[in-house]
Amino acid sequence: MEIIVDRSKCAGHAICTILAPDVFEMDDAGKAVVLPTAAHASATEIRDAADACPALAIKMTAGAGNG
Amino acid sequence: MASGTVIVGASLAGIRTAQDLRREGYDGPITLVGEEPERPYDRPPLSKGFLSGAVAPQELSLCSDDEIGSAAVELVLGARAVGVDVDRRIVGLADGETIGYDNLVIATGAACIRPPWYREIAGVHELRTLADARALRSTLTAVNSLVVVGGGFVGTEVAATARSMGIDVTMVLREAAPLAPALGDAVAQAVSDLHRGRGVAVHHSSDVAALLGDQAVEGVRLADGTVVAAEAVLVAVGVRPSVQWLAGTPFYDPRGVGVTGSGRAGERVWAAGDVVRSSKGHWAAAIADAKSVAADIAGRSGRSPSIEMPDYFWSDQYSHKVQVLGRVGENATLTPIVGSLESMSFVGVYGTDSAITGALLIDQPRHLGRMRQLVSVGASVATCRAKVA
Repeated sequence: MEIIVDRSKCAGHAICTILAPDVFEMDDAGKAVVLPTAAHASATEIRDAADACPALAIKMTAGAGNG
Repeated sequence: MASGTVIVGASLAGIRTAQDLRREGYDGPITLVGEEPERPYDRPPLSKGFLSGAVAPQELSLCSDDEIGSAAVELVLGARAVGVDVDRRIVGLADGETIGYDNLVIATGAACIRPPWYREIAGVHELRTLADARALRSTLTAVNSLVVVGGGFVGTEVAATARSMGIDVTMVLREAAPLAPALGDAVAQAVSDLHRGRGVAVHHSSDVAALLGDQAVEGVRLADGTVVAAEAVLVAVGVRPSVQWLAGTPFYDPRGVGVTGSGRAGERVWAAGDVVRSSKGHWAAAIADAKSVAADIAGRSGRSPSIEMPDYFWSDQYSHKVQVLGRVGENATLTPIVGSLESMSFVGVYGTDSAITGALLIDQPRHLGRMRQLVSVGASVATCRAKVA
């Protein structure tokens, strides 16, 4: 599974860093970025973070998931 | 007509319930009924980016054609529900059609409150729907002055957006400062100062007595006789749950639909989002409601998320992002942890010295994760200071 943060949409809510702290962190520009450890995260955890993004900035594309 | 799950209200709570039902493995028919002609869309940008033109209409969409197709959700748009027959389990529509249900989800949201002096004349706006936002945007591109009645989130955000577009803005609010009931007096004062600093005239502790103008609005007259001239007026004095269509059912309550913890309102009936009596009207609450309702309909008690998320809401004021976690209140003391309110770079906590109940952050998103943990455990102020610096 590929996780994409649309930086033009990301509004710095940082909710994803709460719900999936091993997947997302905020960078210096106040935008979410995907961490290397994301590969080990469950699809459910990532889905929860994407669902809860108030800016609708997180997209998941189908692929070899591990969750 | 087909049964299955009928969701009335093509709102955030409505579409998310449909999507979550499919994720829960629910395989019955799903019908989503919406009064507006639009596909489900996201409301928060309506008072911000959409109004200024920074956010295009298609960016508001909460679902793509593919998602609707793959989730097999039948959309019935431009259809106003007018009643429910709970014995026969049918929803009646304004055009006389009926839709049968096995499970009914009430997600009709809320509508703007119209004060007694409200008149539908040119230049007078309210803001709840996409149609409202289109009309307001069109007006804002054509006027030089705007009165915003109401100092809540919609009022302050529209005031900020309009001011940023170069419009002369006057805010009229009942409270001593904008957002005071939601965020407490200290934050309200900082928000008031922010608006005044940008050139917004703020009439606090004021009530509107009348709209001025015959065919088109010319301003407002306040209760103390003050006249504020303006080419446009936005009335944003709050919302009430959209429950009139439920009159005569056991779920009808002007304060909103009463529900249990899993969103149940009665036999085979659930409610989600702003229409719920205890709802605070927050985006995050609507998606949480949708998740619980979908899990309950699908026959599960609801997967507890790996990480508990406290209540969350936010407001954009000019370039500043105000984020609130947990519980706050008008009389709650706000204790600074990082920065200052005056600088609009701030982390503060609500509650007592020994146990915080909530946190407010201004332009400090990096601290949100840590503050969530501290709010969840009800940490002390000293612990907050030690952990967040």
